[in-house]
Amino acid sequence: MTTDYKNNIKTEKLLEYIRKASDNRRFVQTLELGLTLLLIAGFGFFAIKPTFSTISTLMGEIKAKEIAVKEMQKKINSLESAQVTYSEIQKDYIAIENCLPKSPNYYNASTTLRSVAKNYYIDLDRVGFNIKYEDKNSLVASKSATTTQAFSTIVNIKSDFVSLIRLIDQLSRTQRPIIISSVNIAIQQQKEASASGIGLGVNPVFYYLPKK
Amino acid sequence: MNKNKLTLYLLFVAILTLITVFFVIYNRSYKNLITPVNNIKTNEMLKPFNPVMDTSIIKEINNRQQSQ
Repeated sequence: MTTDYKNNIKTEKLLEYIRKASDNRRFVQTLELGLTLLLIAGFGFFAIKPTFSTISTLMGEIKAKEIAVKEMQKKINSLESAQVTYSEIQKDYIAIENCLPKSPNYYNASTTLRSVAKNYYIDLDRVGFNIKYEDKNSLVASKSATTTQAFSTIVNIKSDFVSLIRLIDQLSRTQRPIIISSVNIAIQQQKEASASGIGLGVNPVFYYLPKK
Repeated sequence: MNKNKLTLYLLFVAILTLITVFFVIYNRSYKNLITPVNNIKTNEMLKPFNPVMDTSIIKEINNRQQSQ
């Protein structure tokens, strides 16, 4: 009986020792694993991160340079073809300048009106200019991306109806575009019965593109 | 028992730290890779332009009469 009891105590002590040894081994293993992972994290932060950072920076710059070279080449090709187009249209510069001059060119506007009127034997004795004309609602101002400016003219003519219609038609086909903003037609009270006439008041608008 | 809890906590922190470090590395590397490319793509100097000019307008201008 006493021997059995002693054996039991010995076995319990041995089991406890084994359990403690096992716990200690697990503790050491977990600690080792944790420290190893922390070490790897530290190594990653202080060694791998700068390396990867440098590699990725270099790769990014190489890619960016490649894209830049491609885009530059495209742009150079576009510039070359634009240069060819530019040299082709150089001979038409006078026509473009006549169409949309850099300055208001009032004299040219007046000459245009006079020469067109002259074709229909209409004498323009007076041409007025409204230089403070603001062109906000016209087609040209709303459609054009460029900042064109305009001035309107005031013309009063006395002639027959057909000539006036032809005059307006001719004005709409001049090289320098003219937009007629308003037309007023009035029958003139003539003293002589044979000379029937119509009075026409037109406001042709001329455009120009000032240099910035 | 306390010792075991402490080591498990340490292991948990170590795993999280490792994940965070790898995430930071990936994030920095990706940013370094993408930023120069994006800078080039948004560069105004490298934006393409259309060299084709509408010459039909010039023909129309030339066809119109020139009043002098």
